[in-house]
Amino acid sequence: MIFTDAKFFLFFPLTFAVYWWLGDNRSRKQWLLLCSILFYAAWDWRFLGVVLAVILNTYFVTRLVGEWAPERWRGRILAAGIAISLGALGFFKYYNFFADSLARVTPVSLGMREIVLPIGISFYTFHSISYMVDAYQRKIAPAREFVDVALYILFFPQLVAGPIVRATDLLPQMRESRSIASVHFKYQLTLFLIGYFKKAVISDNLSPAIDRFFAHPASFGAGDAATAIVFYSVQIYCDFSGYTDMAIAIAGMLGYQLKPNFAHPYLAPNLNEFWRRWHMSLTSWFRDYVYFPLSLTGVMRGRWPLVLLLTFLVTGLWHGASWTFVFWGGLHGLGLIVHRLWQRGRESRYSIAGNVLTFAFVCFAWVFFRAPDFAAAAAVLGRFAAPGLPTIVAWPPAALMLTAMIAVHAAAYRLDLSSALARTDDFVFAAGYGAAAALVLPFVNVAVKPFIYFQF
Amino acid sequence: MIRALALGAIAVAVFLGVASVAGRPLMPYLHARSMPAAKVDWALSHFPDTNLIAIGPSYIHMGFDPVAFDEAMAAKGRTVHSFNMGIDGLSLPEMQALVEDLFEKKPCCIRYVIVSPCFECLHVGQIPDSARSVAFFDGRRGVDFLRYVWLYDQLPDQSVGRTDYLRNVASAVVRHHTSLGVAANRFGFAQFQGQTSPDLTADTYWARRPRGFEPVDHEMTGADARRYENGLDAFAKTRADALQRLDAGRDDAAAGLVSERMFDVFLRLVASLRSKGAAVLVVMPPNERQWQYHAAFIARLRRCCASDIALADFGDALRWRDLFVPASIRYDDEHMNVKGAAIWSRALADRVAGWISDLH
Repeated sequence: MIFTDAKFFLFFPLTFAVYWWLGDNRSRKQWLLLCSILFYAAWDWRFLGVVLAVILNTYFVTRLVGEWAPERWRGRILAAGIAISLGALGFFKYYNFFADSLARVTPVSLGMREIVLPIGISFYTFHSISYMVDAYQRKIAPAREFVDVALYILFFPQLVAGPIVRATDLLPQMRESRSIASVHFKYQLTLFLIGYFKKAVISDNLSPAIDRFFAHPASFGAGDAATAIVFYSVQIYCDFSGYTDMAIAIAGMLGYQLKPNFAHPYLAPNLNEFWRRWHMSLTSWFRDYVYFPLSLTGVMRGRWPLVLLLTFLVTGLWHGASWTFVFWGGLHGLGLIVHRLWQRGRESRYSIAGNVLTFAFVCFAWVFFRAPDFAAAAAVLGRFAAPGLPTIVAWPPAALMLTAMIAVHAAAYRLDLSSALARTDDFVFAAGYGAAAALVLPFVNVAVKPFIYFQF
Repeated sequence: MIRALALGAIAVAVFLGVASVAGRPLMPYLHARSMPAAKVDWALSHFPDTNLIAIGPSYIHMGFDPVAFDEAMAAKGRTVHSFNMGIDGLSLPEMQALVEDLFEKKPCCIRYVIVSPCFECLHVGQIPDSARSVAFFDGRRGVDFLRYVWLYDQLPDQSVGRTDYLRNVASAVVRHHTSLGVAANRFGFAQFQGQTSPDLTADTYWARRPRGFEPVDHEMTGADARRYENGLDAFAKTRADALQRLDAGRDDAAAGLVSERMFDVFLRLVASLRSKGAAVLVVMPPNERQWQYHAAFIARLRRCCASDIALADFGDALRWRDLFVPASIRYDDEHMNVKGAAIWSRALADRVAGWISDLH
């Protein structure tokens, strides 16, 4: 079940109604946990066992390192806990990748297996690891209620595609009681509709043209290559940020505040700024749990370019078990190294040239993110040598649409939506919301497509 | 709580109002004409001298070659100007609507109608998200179509049940009159996503199909062709035996595939055509697929109206073997390719020439 699915529009109102009808916080958490289990089971009930194993691992490790274990054992317990959570991720997501890669370069053959990737495993294992590390570092007291830990891992708004929420952000909220009066419904409903529009209208309607190009790039010329790549950059942004908007809105309607995950990344004047705005929860996770710890190790101390590159190679690998994802990460790592070296001693400020260059670089890197292998990526990039006007979409309507999107995107940069909606009369809002929903729906692509980041 | 409910009610009311009014201009399909309407308009505007039409589903669309037919008819001393009104998946209710539309726009001069009724065709009720479905299903036609579906003892596509048709038709009817159904369809209310692009009605489309005929080059080859050819004799015997049993009234189950009430719908179509001054010849195609429906229909026609309604049964593979083999004249076991269409059209002309002579 995804947020744009018919089933979700039955699931959530029921979840919401019962949640707020329940009087006490404990009952509400139990109800949310049950709903989250059902939400996950709707995807594939077979992997509830894996999630439960991760939850149990997380709960006991955090209690041990946070409260029970002697100091000399804490480090080893943490390492074991991380190994268990990472092991689950490593097996389900990377076994075949590493087995295949090993077989290609060595005589060692581990054999391929039929492994189904549990939905959301990349996200909930990261939740688990960050919580265990934070408990170890005593940034947060471990939760004593098992329900709290289970709900933190399984919380359905962010379960299958993030944002990656820190325990330091969510667990304290779980301990508080909340009232429905504290929910800014106008903002949450608007955010949900914006996210729905991004995903179901923009992203899903761009998908057919993009898929057509990437399926047979040799049939198209340079104009189509440029169009498809730019469209893909829009698609992945709208798909992922749209999902995040809906996730944040849904959590908000239940009284939980999740941090934003995107901040107009395509308006970034440089690559460093791009990564401060794109998938912020993932970037900060890798910064806090990979980059900084690596930087402090003896052999890596002072070698920031290497640490940065390694961090981004791992970031690429996190996105998918394929060398193209690793390469994509590596490209960004190298780009960041170049930027930081160039930036030294210079004042950082916005420039259109920098914005365009950054966007062009990001688009170039997206080719490796989207293509299934290097041969396909090369085929895509090779089309730039074949002159030709765009044919996969009708121009100039597409140009007009793209210009409108850029204008709205830029205008929204300065807009404080929450404040603006708070000042809006409730009845005017209700009428406007009904009208907006009615005007969005005719443009929704009928074929419901899963979110791109679900595959990670 | 009351305030929240009031706000919700306002939002829903505005949603319904805006969807009903403003949604229609935004919905691309309602600006695109359906294939049946487009084909009628094309025929009348480009071939106003048409005096014979062949109407049926895809096997007519791909099997009736007006050029070959007219030439063969001319060789027999009969001048006709034919047009292929075949539409893929054309159901009887759609056929009725098409002829009503045709005769409303061209009250006279279509004198001969070759009808190939397709009782196994209910496709328009399976594709709610298409211009064809939305254009066809107004309230009256929606009710009539559902009543027609409910006449079936056994629906032709077992994966599509009556509730599916009810849901799809309801969605299409609502979308025909408003755009509220868009919301239902967007949330996955209708089971079949179907076509999401308008039917092709541009002039470039018709340039390849000037008289409505769909010329298909593909031919059956390889293992499929051998399997088809090797099984032909068995098919012919099975069909002939089945027809014998049906004619003798010894197979109620098979006869039920085309019930008496379903057959009445066909009779009303014939009556409607005759009331417009057109003579009707019923044609059964040289098909293997869904032959059980054809056999049941033929038996009922013979029992009811053999002397009143002329029938040309090209599905008899014993008699019309040249229309079945070699496999190279066929697109598949249900359709002719362009070579087969020429052969069948000439055979049809031979039969039609005799029929017209009998009429006069």
